[in-house]
Amino acid sequence: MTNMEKYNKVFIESFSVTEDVLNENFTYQCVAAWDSVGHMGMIAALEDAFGIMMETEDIIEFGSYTIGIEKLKKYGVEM
Amino acid sequence: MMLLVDWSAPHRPALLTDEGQSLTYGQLRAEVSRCSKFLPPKRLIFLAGRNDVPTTVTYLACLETGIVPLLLGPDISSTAFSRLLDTYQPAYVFLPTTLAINYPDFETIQINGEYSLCRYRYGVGPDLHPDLALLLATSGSTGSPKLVRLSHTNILSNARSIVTYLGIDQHERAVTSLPFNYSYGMSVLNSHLNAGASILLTNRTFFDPLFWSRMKSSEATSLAGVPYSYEMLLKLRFERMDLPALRTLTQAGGKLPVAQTERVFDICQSKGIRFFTMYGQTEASPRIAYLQPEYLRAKFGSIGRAVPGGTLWLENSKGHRIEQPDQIGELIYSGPNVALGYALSHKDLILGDIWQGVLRTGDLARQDADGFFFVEGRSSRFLKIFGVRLSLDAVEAWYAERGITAAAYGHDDHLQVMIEATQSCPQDDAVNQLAATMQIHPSALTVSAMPVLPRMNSGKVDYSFLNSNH
Repeated sequence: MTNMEKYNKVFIESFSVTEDVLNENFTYQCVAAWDSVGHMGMIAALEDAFGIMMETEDIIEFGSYTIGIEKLKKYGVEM
Repeated sequence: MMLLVDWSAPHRPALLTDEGQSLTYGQLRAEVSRCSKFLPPKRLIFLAGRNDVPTTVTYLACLETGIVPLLLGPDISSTAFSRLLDTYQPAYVFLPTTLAINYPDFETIQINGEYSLCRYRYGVGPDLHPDLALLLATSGSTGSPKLVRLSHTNILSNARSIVTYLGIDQHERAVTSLPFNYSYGMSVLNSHLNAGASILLTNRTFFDPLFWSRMKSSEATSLAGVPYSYEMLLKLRFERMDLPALRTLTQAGGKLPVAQTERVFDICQSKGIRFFTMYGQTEASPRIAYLQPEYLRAKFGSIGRAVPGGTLWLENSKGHRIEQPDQIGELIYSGPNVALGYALSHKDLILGDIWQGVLRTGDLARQDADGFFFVEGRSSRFLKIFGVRLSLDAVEAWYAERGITAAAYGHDDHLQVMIEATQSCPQDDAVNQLAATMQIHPSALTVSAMPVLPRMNSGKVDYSFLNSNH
């Protein structure tokens, strides 16, 4: 699986959404499942999927699907 | 007139908002009296709002004029809201203007920010008991019509106890990290206003960078959280955060696992923050017990002792008071903050003090030789999901309405449902629908199926078997 596929899979499973909604408009709290509870679960799933440990500011600034791609670069995860 | 708010220092700040707005006590008082003009006393109002100025002003205007509010969140489903309207027939509703158009039986009489205050066109609502001041939902989620009836004495005595044991003075500034309609969130507001302290109103979550930047720039001194809040704080590496004004953390709304309590305590020690673990129930307005930070290390996992003005004891299954240490019994509380009783419909709002100051908590606890209480389990059928109480019987009833036999069990922050069905794979739709109805996150819910539920000889579902095997 490519990094992009892994990344999308985490979103699809964490928020029960389909792949076609994953774009720059998919942001924190845009769906009911992406609340603070969903956010914690998604971060944990990304950390597991990529074997990384994210910093506080990256967790709280992770405000959208697109921002997340940028954030993960810092941890050596290229999409 | 209620004496909840300390109005004695009109120039001191009372409310600060996310957007940088601020109101002194003098300005707040003027806003409250302006709002009071629209509210005739001794009527019922539904207050569906958030942590913002219009909601806080309306809430205080209600308490000041003696209009009785039922506190609700703005995200309550229209089904749940309509059910409550039918059951309680309020004279007024205060709710986001975007929702007000759904209720044509109510006419708008005032617009305040994004909210509308509306009056019922065809009546003045139910008669209310003179001591009734406030109504809170027993379960934030299901729109259950069962409400807790609180008096002015309940609210005021509990606010004062909290002010005393937390040592809140006018220099304190709390940030609203919980919804205002949740009894714990309400008590943060009440206690700080009672002490002449200030409140930073926000609806942002811990995962919003602006929550932390506003908290820092407005020098908030205290933060309240449920166990899940502390899980988030630890995930966010609270130990690395730079919040020099923060002096107090409080925790309630369920039991924080001992390992996490220890971690939070260690971090607080290193930063010079006081960490209070507490215990309460909406039925006690809500605070019942607290553990002083100096005893935390010696008494990890304890809920501490009764709040000032209250008494806690244990009773065995025969109703006899337990005197010896370390015997488990039901935790019973007595104090001036114990609610008047429940209401199941508008007819109950005329009732007086049914409970007479004594609350059976439904929690099983023990008391150690030093007098500290430890909650060991729950005798009643409730879980706390992210701090909000969820009735397991309500979950089973939801399935029963759909012709499905189900057993609900689990532990705090995770609901398990076992449905009696031959298909092994329950439909995702039903899971999401249940999660939405109960307003819990789908990840806090697991649904499985088995052909026949385990039952005891009495025919009752064997929950202890399910809990230990599934």
